[in-house]
Amino acid sequence: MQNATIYCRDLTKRFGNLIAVDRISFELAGGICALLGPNGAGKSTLLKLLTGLLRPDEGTIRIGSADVSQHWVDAKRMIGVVPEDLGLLDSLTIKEHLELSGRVYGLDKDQIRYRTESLVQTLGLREALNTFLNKCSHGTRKKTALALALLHNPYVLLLDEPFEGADPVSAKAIQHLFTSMSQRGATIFFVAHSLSLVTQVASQAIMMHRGRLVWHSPLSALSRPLGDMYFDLVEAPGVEALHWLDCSRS
Amino acid sequence: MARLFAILKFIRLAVSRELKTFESIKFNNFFLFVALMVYASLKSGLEPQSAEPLLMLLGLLVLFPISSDPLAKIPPSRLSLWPIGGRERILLRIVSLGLSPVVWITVLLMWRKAGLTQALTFLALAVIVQCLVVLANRLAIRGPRYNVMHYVPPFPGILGELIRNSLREMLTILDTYLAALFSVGGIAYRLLSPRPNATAFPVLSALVALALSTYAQSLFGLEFGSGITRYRLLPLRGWQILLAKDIAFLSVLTVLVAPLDLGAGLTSGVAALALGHRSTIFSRLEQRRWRFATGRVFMGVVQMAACFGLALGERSTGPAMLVFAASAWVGSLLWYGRAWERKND
Repeated sequence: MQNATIYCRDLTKRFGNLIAVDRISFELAGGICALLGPNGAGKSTLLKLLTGLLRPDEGTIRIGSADVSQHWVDAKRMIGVVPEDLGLLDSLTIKEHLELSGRVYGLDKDQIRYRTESLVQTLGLREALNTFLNKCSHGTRKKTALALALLHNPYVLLLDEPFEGADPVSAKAIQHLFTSMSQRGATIFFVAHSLSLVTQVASQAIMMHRGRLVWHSPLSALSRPLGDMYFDLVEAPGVEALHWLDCSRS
Repeated sequence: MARLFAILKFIRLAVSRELKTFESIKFNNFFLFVALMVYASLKSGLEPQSAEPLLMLLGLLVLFPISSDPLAKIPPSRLSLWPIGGRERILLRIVSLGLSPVVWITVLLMWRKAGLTQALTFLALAVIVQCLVVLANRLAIRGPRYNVMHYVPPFPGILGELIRNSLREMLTILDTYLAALFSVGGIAYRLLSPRPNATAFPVLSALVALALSTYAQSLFGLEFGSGITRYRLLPLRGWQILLAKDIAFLSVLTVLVAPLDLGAGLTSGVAALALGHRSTIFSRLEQRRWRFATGRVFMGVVQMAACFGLALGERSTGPAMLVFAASAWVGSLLWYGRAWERKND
């Protein structure tokens, strides 16, 4: 499926003197790929570049055949996004968000109704359907953002920590969803911090560190366990300085 | 009590820091207008009697605690985590009013103009309104059907829900209620006065538009962060997103000026929007719910001149002035819509 590809070449983004994304190149055509790296590696920045929320200083991004910089409306029609801040409007209810999204992406009333019903059922949003988003829990907001990303049946899914804040039932549902979509040819690219979840869900992974792409590999082809390769790059800090955290207080 | 003092100390520090920075020097166009009226009167050696009703109106609206709520410096999620009881919370809310410079300025002005009794009455009213607002918030949480936002009607078309969202946003800005007060006042004058002066209505319509004009400088002011992200993710052109905002603004304006002078009101309104698009796109003017909107002084002066000038011009030249203002608005919509698309960071 040609539209379900992500292509980027020499992608660079600077914030003042900081190079947040440093000449990153990769191509994804189908499958589920996890983006890994420590905090500050540039993962969210890379995701924002792919979604068009940020403009790159150098490099090219294509979603399918659409150059994200030139044909960004076409590119946006092909992608579903769960951004870092969820991208929700506090003055709309969950149902109204889905209605908004459906209309903007050109779905007819029946399609909106049918797809809303199935998303609400799958993601467990029924009880909060008519609640304003600023009154919803973080988990519900996250599920709403996911529903918005899926409603228009995108070719490419770009998600910033989709499992964060999800209860076990929802996490399982999201996992099945990803598997089902990738089997039908979609490309799923998500940021994650849980290595165990990544090994369960993803078929390939990209590791970033200090803005650079360190490696990109199918998980089955890794020479060592994912956790070992992760901690090669990032040293876990010791907790000796927090010795005063002691339940037997004086 | 030690906990309360610690919290109040922090609030005092936050308020004083805000006063020291230019962040506190933001203006609402209507406040600017009243200030100019008072200045002009004083300069000409007269008592600013024409400004007094407007000052009283502002004093009434300032009663809304969130227009001057220092407690808002603390994120609600943080405040709710602290081990302070219900009575302490109420006491904190009331005492924190004392740290608001707006409340003190209003009380002192009222004391000077109307006497100590009226000033203390105002202070008591401020405390009562604080309590009512807290009760109203709790009611809205426990009984969603009491939340009036649910009753804002949907609009047709692909921008329909965006327009509804923007309408709801406008209903959480005090400027809308100020404009509504002018409209109601004008309707009362039309209906109750034995011989209403026809020249008053274009001016009243211009006042309504002026009351809303500061918000026109910051149409995304309540949505920085998550809301803006959603707009940027939608496959819509910049002009479409601005148009949704403008339709909401013009809908509110039309309802308020239709009983007064529709032509003059719409002329002022589209002019305010055309001028405000620049600030909307390029200035990060964050707004807070249940407060007056704040904007740039220079733009406010220009909007003020346009609102009154064009409204009065519409009265003498007819629809030509509305056509001119509407043309400027369309041009501004397309120009700043493109700017929105280019401004990707």
